[in-house]
Amino acid sequence: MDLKRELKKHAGLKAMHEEAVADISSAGTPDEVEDARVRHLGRKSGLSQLLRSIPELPDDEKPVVGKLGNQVRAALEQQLADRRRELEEGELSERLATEQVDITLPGQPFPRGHLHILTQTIWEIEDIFAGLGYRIAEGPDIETDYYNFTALNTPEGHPARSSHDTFFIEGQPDVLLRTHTSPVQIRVMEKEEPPVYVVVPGRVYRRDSDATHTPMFHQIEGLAVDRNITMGDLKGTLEMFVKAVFGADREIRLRPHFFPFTEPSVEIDVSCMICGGSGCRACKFIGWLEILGAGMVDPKVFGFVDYDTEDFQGFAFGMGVERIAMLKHGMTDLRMFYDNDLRLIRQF
Amino acid sequence: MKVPFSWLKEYVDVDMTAAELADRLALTGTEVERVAAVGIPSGDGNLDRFVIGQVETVAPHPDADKLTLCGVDVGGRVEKIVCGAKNFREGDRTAVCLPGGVLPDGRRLEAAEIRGVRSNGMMCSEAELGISSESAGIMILPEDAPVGERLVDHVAVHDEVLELEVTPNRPDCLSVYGVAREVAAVTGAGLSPEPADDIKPEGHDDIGSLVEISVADPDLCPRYGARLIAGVKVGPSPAWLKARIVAAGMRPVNNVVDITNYVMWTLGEPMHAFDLAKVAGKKLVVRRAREGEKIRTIDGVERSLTPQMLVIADGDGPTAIAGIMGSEASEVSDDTSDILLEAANFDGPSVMATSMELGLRSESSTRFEKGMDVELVPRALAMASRLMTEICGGRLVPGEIDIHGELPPANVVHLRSSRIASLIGVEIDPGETAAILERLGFTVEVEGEGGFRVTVPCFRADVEREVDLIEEVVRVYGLDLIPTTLPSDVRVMGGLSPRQAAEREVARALAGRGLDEVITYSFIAPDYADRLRLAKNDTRRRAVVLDNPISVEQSVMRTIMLPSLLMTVARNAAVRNTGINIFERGVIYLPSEGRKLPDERRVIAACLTDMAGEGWISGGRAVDFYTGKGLVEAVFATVNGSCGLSRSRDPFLHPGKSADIMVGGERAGYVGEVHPLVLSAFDLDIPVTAFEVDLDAIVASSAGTVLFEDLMTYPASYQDLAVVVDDKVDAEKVLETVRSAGAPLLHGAEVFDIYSGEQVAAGSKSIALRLEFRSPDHTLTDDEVNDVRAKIVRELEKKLKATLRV
Ligand SMILES: [Zn+2]
Repeated sequence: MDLKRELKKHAGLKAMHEEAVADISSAGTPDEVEDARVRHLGRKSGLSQLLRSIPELPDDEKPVVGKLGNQVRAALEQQLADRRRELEEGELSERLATEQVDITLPGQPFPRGHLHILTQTIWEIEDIFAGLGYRIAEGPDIETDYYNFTALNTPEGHPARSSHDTFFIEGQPDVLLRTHTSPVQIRVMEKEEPPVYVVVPGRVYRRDSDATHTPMFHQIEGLAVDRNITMGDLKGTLEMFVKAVFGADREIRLRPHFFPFTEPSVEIDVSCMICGGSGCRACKFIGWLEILGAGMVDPKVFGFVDYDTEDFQGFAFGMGVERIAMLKHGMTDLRMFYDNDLRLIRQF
Repeated sequence: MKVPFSWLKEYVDVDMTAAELADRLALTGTEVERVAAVGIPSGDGNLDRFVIGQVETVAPHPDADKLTLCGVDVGGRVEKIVCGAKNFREGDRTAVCLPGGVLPDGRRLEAAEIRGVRSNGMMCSEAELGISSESAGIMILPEDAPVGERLVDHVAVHDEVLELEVTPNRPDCLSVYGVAREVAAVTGAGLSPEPADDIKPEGHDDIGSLVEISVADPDLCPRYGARLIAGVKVGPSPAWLKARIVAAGMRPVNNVVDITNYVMWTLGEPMHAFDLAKVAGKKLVVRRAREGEKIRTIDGVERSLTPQMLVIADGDGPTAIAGIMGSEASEVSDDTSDILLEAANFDGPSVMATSMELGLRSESSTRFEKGMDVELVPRALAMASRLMTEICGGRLVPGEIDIHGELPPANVVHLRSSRIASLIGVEIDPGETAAILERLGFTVEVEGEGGFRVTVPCFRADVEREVDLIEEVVRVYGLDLIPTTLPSDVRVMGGLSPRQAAEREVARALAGRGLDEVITYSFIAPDYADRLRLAKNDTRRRAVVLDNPISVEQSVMRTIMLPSLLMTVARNAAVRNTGINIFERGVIYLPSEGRKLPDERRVIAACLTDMAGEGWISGGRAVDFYTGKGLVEAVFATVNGSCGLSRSRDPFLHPGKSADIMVGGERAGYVGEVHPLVLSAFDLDIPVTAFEVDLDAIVASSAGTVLFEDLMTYPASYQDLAVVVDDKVDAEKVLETVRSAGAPLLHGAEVFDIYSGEQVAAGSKSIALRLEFRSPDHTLTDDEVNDVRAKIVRELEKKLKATLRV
């Protein structure tokens, strides 16, 4: 129903409506809107008086004025609400416009500490192998000569067994600081039957202290013993590891080597992540960086833990955590890891 | 092991450059540290600038007495060359460097005026050519040296040297011929026979009647061989020999010594030459040294011997240390005429022990240490005899001394092709397997289907078992040909143990609250116990001590983490780092009664100095006891666990602001402000709050799996309560009283304010508590709550003389 056309039927209402509409539209503040409401819809307004006077009107006018009057009232109420909201929003926008902050100032500081970069490296490596089904095994730092050397097939008189290379404990000539994480292999195999899939992170100690050696450093060892483990499995596992740590386009190569506790033994190189293999100073222009020692577990080692060498075979590998971290993050001085200068720690 | 490439190629017909061969060797198990060029640099046509010249005229230099002016035919033309040497005459042939030539030391020779006379080249000495370590005068070449031709085509003035890192299991590769055999195996190139063909002796005398040799201690000397070369003329070695000795990294001495070194380098067998005239009593005994015996070795050092050391003694006593070094007394000199040549096999561990004891290593000792092949003894004697008669002009005296017991039989190992496939994961054709082993020097006979009976040559004592043969086959076959696979049937679960997972959570919780993780050495200086003021009977004084530390600062295994962390704080403060709040996960090493190994406990420890934070928004707070306590509570909360506290007596903490951390009635660590005296003992002038907790105790405190509790259906009621109590009453005492009086409807009680001051009596404090009441089966009425609250107030009044604060 078109209110304007209907209002032609009643000149008085039409005039009231037009005046009110103009008044509300010109209200400039919420207070002026309220004034207009009182003026046009209040008890003393012409509209209210007209509606109150309906009973006194001639019978034929009653329905027209009643219906039309209420329509006018509803229309004006709607207009008042709209105008009020319009003015309030305008006021808010104006106020907000004056409340601008410097968004370039630092945010509220929530303290953020840092895990040591070696911890981050160890956890990353642990998680890769955990995803491949390996558990994390641990063992003591202070070890017996048996676990550190004898059971790993290290011959008597081997230079590593000398007090020149290894820290021994006063008053206990057969107790020492472990020189690698490999003794944990023996401890795990003594306790458990195959299948064994473990990685062993930990602190190790060697009597060396210069620009490229610290007397304590970290290794991660891996051991997989099962019925059908092959050297191909070793190669595939370490290739997967290298790609996970250094990127999917890295490659590995195996070079034969010698370790007392594996046979065959290999060293594993990763294609240089700095030059991509074309040769640079970091890789001594070879394109490859040595990162791991590995091999098939020597049957003599299985002999020490009473595993049947015709039924079971396995592989083992070991790496220096510091070397991995240095290659990955471009660090050049090993000793920095143990200076614990917060200017270094807070970089990672 | 330095292997000159030209020397290697004498025995193996390898069709590769030295660099290519180095790559191939690296991938088959022989590490090549580098390929070094020796002698005259080869680049840029430089070798063409060194030619054979003939001196045509020699005239005095017009302006210098010590110089001569020579006309030298350098092939079709005569150049004027000024020379300072005097050891030549007209007609001699020599090595000439033409202008532009670059010498081994990097010097570039240019045509130059020397005292007013132009010199168009230089006549070179052996030292200048890099083929000898010293020389007197220019190099004189044989009379048939072709004038004008390149020097390098007739004298080894340029070579490439492969520097190999030989692993301890391959002493056979400590020889050029051994490396040649390896190269032949891994490249397929042809191998020449070993250069050990013998010569015929001359004369009618016999070595046995001229010298008497015996082995008194055969356990340390499984084989002792000797020969006698009479009438030699000792002098400088020919140029080719000197060049090889220098290229191998040794120093030419004289022809006799150089030959023994040359044979050692070629075959691997160390040799020694005695001057027979100086062997007292013409008698040698191989025996252990006697207490108090001394020897002056050829390096001029007098050395005291002990009865564990093996010597070669003559009538006057020790005249060589077996396998290590000879003595001045029997050393070959210019007037030596008769040479007693020794080739022997000495016990490896014995040579190593003696060498370490004396601090004396030689090329000989490094070979014997690794265990040499006993079969080399006669072959080395044969090769040396031939060279000595050819070069030094002597004659081989008939008869030979070769003292040994029963020599070990050849080892036989059985190899299955199926085993190669199952261990390596690749099928190798049995024919290829056999060919590889034969190239490596093994004797292979087929034995059944895909099986072999393999006889191990005596120079490969490292090969004892089937798996050793598999390694040999696979490394030559090519590790790059092994497929990459993954274990196909993994029937185990991977992942972290609960303790390992908790340790990570705790570390992340501390890092998440602003602490930085450090990693410090497990060993420290022993004075830490005093600096921490530990009592004399404190078990933490009983640290594990290293027998051979590098320094006193790293000489005992720590029994507590605090000293390492305090030192780290001090180091960071010294470089003006700010916000020093650090933690470490580490092991402490505690004495264990009656066990061989100490009790290793994993702990987490922290030192806090400033949590106020920096920047334009302030918010944090300085550090005190409650900072430490709050973090300890946060640590336990990570595993949904909790701990109790009781007053600590640890002497390194503030006596009033410290606590023992208790889990299950056991002490699991400490938390508190560090004692001011301890701070100064560690050179710290900032306050430090520290804690240290046993990681197993944290895990043990875990409440385990959480069961659901309905807190939503019936809402709780909250009430605040403030009571005034004596200052000495701990908050925990108030809470305990509240909890026991409020049960079962009181669900929780927390301190939210502490006040002492004007509004309460002196010597007392107000504690404000927030109380939470709820029931699992209905919504509590006001009356119910008020009854419980009244009971709580009554109990507080009765037990703690508390008064309600209104
Ligand atoms: Zn590179």
